[in-house]
Amino acid sequence: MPIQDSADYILQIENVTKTFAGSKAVDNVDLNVRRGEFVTLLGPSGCGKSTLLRMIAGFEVPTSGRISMRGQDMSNRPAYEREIGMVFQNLALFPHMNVYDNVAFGLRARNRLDELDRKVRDMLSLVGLEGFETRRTGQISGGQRQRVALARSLVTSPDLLLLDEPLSALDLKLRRQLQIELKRIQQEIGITFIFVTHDQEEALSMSDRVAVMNKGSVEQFGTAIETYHFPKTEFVARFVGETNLLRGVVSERSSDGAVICLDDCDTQVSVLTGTEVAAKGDRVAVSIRPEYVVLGSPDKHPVSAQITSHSFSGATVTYALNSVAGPLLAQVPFLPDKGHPLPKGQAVSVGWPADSVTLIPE
Amino acid sequence: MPKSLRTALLLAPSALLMGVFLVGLYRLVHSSLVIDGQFDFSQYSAILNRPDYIAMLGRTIRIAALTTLLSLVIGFPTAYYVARYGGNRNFLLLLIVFPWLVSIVVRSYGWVVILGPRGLINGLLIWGGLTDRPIKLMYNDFGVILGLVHVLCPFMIIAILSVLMQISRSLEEASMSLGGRPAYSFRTVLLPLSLPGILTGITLVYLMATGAIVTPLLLGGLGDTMLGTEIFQEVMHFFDYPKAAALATVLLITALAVVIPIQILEHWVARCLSDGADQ
Repeated sequence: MPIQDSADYILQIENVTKTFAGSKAVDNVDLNVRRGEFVTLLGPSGCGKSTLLRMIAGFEVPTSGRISMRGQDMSNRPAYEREIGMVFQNLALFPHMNVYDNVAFGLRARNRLDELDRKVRDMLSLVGLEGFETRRTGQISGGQRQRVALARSLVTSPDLLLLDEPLSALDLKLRRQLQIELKRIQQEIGITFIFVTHDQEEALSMSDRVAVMNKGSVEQFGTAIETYHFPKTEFVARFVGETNLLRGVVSERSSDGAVICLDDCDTQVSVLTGTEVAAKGDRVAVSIRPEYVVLGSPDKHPVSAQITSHSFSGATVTYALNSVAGPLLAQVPFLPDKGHPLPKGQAVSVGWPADSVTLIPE
Repeated sequence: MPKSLRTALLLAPSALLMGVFLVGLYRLVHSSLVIDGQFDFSQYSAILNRPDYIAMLGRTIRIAALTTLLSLVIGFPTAYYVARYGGNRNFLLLLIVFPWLVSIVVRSYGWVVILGPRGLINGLLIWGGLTDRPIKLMYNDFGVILGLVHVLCPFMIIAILSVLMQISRSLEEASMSLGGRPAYSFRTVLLPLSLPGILTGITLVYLMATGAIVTPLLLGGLGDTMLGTEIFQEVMHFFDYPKAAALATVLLITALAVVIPIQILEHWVARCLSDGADQ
């Protein structure tokens, strides 16, 4: 990646900390967001992602650190001068205004009255709400309210839009539909989205980059594929998708990988990725995603295991296994002609390709 | 127990109250209009022909209006502060209603101690050499309004607070994120949404101020009483019930002339403010 000029970043967060009554809600966060990116702040509730978003919006003041936008320091800039859009978790539609007036609010507040009507109608058509102008916000469905909130935040054409878990109140099907629509709108108008969610699937499917947050800190900031396949910390490995974490000690270290000797048995695991952070003799964990675990594997280090239970989910079946290396999850294609689901108690040998294993320092 | 009987029993207390109120109101109007079995409008014509009563009516309305306005100006920011207070809100509420635990007579006397000719303020002013004779801070409209605002402001605060608590903070933040400066956000979001509470507060404070007896009696001047005090004196000192009843009816009509339009306005506002659900 070429070294970027700070002007390429629409948002720069430098060493930002926020303390509430002595406890750190956001702890020394550094984050740079490029123009046009879809960045997700992902983490469990209470991890500080919403507080970070509220500091970007200007509703909270950082205890220390600096937030800049478009190369300018925002420290003394109140929310109404930051030229950003925001979609709130509870949507915060104005209950005393109809759909049209809600969408027109930002233009009227900034006194940008020329072509107001055209801009409002363009926005309503972008989100597919033509004909709803005079409806009250209580007379439309949850998905439509969502679209009004989006149209309202985009009408002033901000170059940065903040979204605080906007889809969390919707049912799964509508959620999926709006995820696709949000992504389409983001690409169509080419603005930067900062999206907060606790749903890792949502984060992976929509984002260009994901910042995984835990206890106020960003544990990993990378593309969706990186955070899933190459988690850098145990928290990221566990929070982003399901995983098998096995602990052990680095027994061999070479230029192209390492071998880990797992605890409580003499199973050896070869690791190819993430090994640069560990030296021989270090205690580490390895992460193996369930979908890489193969049953009846011809791998050179097969691990013997017993099936303890299974859960069927359509195309795949996930087995819980009790192996010599500890409990394991294996997600395999559901093939009835291979005898799936395999009965409880059946002995199997399991393995995994070496390049599917990621080393995580402890 | 049959459901209809249960409903009737539950409604009985409020029906009793309502009944007693209506009978009392009827008796009041009746005793002002019917004297010795004859319809007689003389009480009213006597009142309307006396310039001092007309002036008293005007003063009552003026003092009540000023008290309401001051309570609103003080009450709204207070209610807003309490509604958005991050800490122990119940403690602040306790502070607001605390004066209610003290009798209105004691509270009014408290003002005498502070405002009187030999009171705290005048004592300090004379001691500090800022004036050589006491400034008249009470026994005039100023003292009455001050006392009434002190007594009635909590009603305004609580009426507005109950509405502000239901206005999500994110509505103000949404306005700000859309470029709404504080004054604009207040005018277009907070004020319209809190209007029902403001109107309730205005109604409550205005009604109670027009009917005030004790505060004007203790803090007001001898020559410029308010209507409520005058009615009290007609009943307790002169035993002129027909005249007191006629004055009370006049007071009632002047109060309703303000309150009914406000109530209509409030209903209309509430309909405009609803988000339209279930309609």
